[in-house]
This record gives sequence, structure tokens and C-alpha cells, in this order.
Amino acid sequence: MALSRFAVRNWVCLNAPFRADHSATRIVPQYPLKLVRCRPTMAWGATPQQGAADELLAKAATQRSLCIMPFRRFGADECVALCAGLPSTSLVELLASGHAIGEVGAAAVGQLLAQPSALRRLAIGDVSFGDAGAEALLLGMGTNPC
Amino acid sequence: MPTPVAPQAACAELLVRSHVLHHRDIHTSGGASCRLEALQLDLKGLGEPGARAVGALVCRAPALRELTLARNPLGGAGVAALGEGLRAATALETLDLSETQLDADGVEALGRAAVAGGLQVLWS
Repeated sequence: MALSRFAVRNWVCLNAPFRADHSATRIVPQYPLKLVRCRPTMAWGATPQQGAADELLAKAATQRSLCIMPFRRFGADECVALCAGLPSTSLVELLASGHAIGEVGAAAVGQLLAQPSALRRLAIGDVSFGDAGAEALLLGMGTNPC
Repeated sequence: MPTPVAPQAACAELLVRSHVLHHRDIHTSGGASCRLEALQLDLKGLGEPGARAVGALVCRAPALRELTLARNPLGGAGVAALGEGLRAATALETLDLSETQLDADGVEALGRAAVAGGLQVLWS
């Protein structure tokens, strides 16, 4: 059930199955950028034990949007490896919500954000992300004042 | 005696349209700031410290247009802390704060931030 709903709305919001209908439907016309209309490349299925990050990076190198499904393995190690390689790609959208990336992964994402990259749209972390994750993300961006 | 209304219910749907600032001053200087345009952090277990961190992050993302923080226990103090960062988010158009335990103080802080910036839609 959740999957079919996701297929319809995958260009709107990764968390569509978890959100109230009014949020998902009302946000659509508020964000008329081209990038939300591109269909994400899905990272489906069981993850190989090795080379998971390499596979993701290979997809990121050729696509504008990457959606890593919640049931796929994407932990701190994979997150760090992916973030290290992303600045050299033209990936615009990274949707990796529902994965426990921890503080290490969050810091890596912060470092990614501090570098010049094509990334414009980001969804990361799961319910365990928490305050520590948000603060690690901020610390990863460096200490430059706004 | 009037029945007290839960803050959550009082602002079940609040639409803020700012007519104050039509011209958006997009900051392009400063190489350290990122060019992120949308950040989705729904259901991440963020409390007040997390909200403060997100506010500081928003400060450094001057191009941010959409921020979703739905279903995080931010609380009124957390939302107020977030509002401080939102003052600098001049490009922000959509802010989703559904189910974040918003209270009257948080709404007031957000209202000020919304008027100062260009916020068009606020979900709460």
C-alpha cells in the first residue's frame, strides 16, 4: 500500500506515506522547480555486502536525482563514502530519509554542504537522527558565521 | 467559563502571506554558504537543541526555499529558537511545522520571522 502511494508521489516527497495528505498535496504547486519533476533513480533491493557506496556513486554520477529506499542498507559508512564523492557529480537531489546515518554520517553531510556542489534538495536521517544528528550536521558545515 | 483551546488546535491551519517584501534579497556572496534549496527533516526526533541547530544551518543556506520539520517534538522554545535563524532566510517560501507542539510564543516568534522574510506558506 505504502509503496504504490510512493510510486505516484515520488516526485513530491520521500516521506509521502508518512505525511498527512494536506501537506503533500499543498506543497506541490509551491515548488515549481524543474528538479522536483525529474524522476528519482531508485536504489532498490538487497544491498551487496561490498561496493554499496560505489554503486550509489555510479548512479549519482549519471543522474540528477537519487532516492535510496528505506529498506536498503545505507548506514554511516555508506553515507560518508557517498558524501565524499558527491561534489564531483551533478546530483541535484538526494533523498535518503529513513536511514540511521548517525552523527558520523550527519557530519559528512554537513561537510558536503559546505563544499560547492550541485546538490539543491536533501532529505536525510531517520527518527534516531535527533538533536545530536542536527548538531553534527551543523558542525560539519564548519564554524563560519552566517 | 470558556473551554481552553489546545495550541495545536488553535493553529491547525495558518496561512501566512507576506505582502511586505516582494523583492527578495538573495545573498550570493560568501563562498562558505551552501546553495541548498530544500531540506526535508520530517520525523527526525528533533527537540529544542535540534531546532536551534537547524536555525543556524538555515542561516548558512541563504538560497533555502523549502524547509519541512513536521512531526518533530520541537516545542514552543524550539520553534522560537528556529525563528531566530529564519530571520536570515530571506528566500524561504514554504515552512512545514505540522505536529511540532507549537505554542503561542512559537507562533509569535515565527510571525515576526515570516514578516521579516518572504515566507509565503506556513504549515503548522
